[in-house]
Amino acid sequence: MKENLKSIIEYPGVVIFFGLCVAMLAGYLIVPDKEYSQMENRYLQKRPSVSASSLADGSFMDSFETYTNEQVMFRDFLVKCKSAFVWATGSVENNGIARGDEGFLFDKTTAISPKASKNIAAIRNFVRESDRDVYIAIAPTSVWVNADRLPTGMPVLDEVSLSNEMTLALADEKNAHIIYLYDILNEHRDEYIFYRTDHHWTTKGAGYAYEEIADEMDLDRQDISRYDRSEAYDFYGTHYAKYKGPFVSPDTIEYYDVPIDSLEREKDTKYDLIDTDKFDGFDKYGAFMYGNDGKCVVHAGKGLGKNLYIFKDSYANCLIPYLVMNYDNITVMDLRYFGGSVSEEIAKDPQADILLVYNWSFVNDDNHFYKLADK
Amino acid sequence: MVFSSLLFLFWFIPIFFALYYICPAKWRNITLFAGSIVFYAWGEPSYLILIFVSILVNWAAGMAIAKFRSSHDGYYIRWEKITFVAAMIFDFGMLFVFKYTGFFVSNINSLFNTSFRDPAFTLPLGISFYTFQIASYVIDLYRGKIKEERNILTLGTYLVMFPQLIAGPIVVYSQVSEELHKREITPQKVAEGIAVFILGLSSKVLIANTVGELWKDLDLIGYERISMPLAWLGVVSFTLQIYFDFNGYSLMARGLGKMLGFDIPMNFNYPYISLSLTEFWRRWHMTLSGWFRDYVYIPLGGNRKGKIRTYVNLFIVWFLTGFWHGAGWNFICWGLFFFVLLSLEKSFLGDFLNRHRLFARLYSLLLIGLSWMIFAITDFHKLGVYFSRLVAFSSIGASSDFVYYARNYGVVIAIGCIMSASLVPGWLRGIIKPGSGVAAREIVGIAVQVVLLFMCVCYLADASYNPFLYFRF
Repeated sequence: MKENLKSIIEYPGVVIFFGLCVAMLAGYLIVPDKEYSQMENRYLQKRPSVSASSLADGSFMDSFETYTNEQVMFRDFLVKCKSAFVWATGSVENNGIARGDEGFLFDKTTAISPKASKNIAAIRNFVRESDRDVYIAIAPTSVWVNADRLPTGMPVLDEVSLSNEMTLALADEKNAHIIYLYDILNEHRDEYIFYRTDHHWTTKGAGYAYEEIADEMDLDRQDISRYDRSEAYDFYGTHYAKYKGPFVSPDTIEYYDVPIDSLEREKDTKYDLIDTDKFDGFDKYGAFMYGNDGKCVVHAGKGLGKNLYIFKDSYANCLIPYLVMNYDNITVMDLRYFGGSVSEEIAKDPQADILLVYNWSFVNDDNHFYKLADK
Repeated sequence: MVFSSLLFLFWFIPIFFALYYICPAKWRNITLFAGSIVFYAWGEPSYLILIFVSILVNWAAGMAIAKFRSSHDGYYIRWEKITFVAAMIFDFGMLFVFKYTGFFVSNINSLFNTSFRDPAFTLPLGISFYTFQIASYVIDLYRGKIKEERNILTLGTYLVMFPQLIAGPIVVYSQVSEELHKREITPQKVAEGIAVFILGLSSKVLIANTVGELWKDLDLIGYERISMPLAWLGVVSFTLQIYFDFNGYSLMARGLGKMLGFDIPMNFNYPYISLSLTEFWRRWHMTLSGWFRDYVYIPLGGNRKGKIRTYVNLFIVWFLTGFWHGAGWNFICWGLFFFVLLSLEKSFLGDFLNRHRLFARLYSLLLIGLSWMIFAITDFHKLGVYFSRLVAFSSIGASSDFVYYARNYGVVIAIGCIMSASLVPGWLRGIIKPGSGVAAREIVGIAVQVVLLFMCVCYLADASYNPFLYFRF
């Protein structure tokens, strides 16, 4: 054994290999766990504690394995290196995000999900139950509008098929007013209407959508440029958080300070629509509406005598500052986090308008549309 | 637990090997046994009991067979046979119950319109592999080729040894019986083991997982929507995925074996350079084909009982080989596909292939690739769609999907082709073998290992997709 130990110096490979394994193990034991990954904009698994039940049902092993992957020393560096290796092999894709022309990152969605039909059916049932008009604004994704900026041959979500399916599903519903936003956005496709590193539209893109929605809903189009305009820089969005490859230039967020009386959120009340603190962090799009909330109410205090219910995904968050110009009170519901009853909620204000704002990717695979038809 | 995970690399390896190397030689088996149990139970604690029972039953059967044999009494000789048969029924019965019940229940139900309930067992991890291993012990013992193992812990260590417990190579008892009792661990062996392990890890993480993404995408897109060139790229990518996946696993097992002081046999020998399918099976999953040869084909009489019996024997072996890979009709078809082609090669095709090497190469590659489609696509309808895309000439140029995938995976596929075709020159291949004594070569070899290991760690830190194909069996 002693001779072995002596001669082991002649095998530096052995020393390096075990040295690395032991050093990384020490990293787990010594370095405190990180709560949150800035780069990936998500919470990380901390070291789980052992209990008889979590050992028996295997949940301890699962969370320990996740912990091992998420708390590995130098994780951000390792992950960035991986992205660089993938890039170096000539691949334009990493973790399901593809790099297209002009610095655009795109979400690769290979096919229509079986959930899409269910979600469309849930919307139809909601409209059918409704005692008033329902406006359904559907945004195209960045992929569909930027078709000529995609890497050649990249599989995409067929949004035309989805539109046809929705049109057909709602054909007999008199209360349904579908507002497809593809045409208006496609007209402005060479402007900065979609972020390059994020899946959302920009404030400008939402502005064009607003004009289309306002026309369809018979609202007086208002000009947002009368309010203070600001910019936030160095925005690396959700696509970047997965892609993490080299040579990606950041986006800029444009926003307007539309004054309101108050924003009543589930846990607290705010007095503006933009959480400027978020611009210091990574999740900069989260500044709009202070991020997603199950239900929040914007009191605009315009005295116009009109109220609105919005059911939405996060695309709507930067659209709401526009709509605030046309309504007194806007109740915003995100079904992913909303725990109450939709039918009870809209019965509270029978005069208010109803607007759904979703993007196709969300309609394609979200799991919460069933809450719309809760009767 | 899987080898290609940070959990294995940074928790299991440092802790286990520290204990293993520090403890006195006579405690090594128990350390290895305990470590292997942790390794196995990490993913599947509930089936641990099955392994313990299997060890106990086969150990007891071995002891009984030896006891009856030593009595030299005709009465006991009969009992020797009964014990042997009972052990076989137990071993293969367990495999049958846990792996094939669902298959038979659903087929009987659809055939006779009955409604027997499928107990829906989850497949115990590694059962296909460890059943074959432990059976080799009892069979060889019964045949008088080896002596019984009196120490249940030693036999248990053989069965649960973590490098090969879950997905092989199928190490027969006689190959490691000596090392189970006394093995030497030298820095040279450990260094070699590490080199082989890193090579296997790289095969799995850098190549198999990467091209596996392509194959997964084709399924998501839907086979009916892909163009002909992309369908062929899919064949190439799955062909590479399964080789680098399984060979990667086998290399990691072999490397870990060396680090523990065992010599675990090679499982692959450049199967894709074969010039016939007969040759392919001499180079692919060699420990499995060896097992079927030694424990099925030859006992059935092999090719020594006339032509008809030879083909019947081949049929049995290939039916079983297919069925071993999975409880599904597509696996049976896959096995029979090889039965038909190997029979043809045996009767006349083999001579033709010997004379036309270029044809033989194309023939082998094409049929190996197509056989993997039968293997990979378990649904016959989808398989039909896939084959129709392979000849959908009208789709050429109609879709640019091929461009996207060729661009993303072209380099890795090319590397995979070069590596699997044994086109890497010998001096380069030898470079990562430690202990050559040439300083410059050693340094380059270690540098290659360090770079590969670093890349693997990077990929694992970001990994979302990391399946082992052979874990399903």
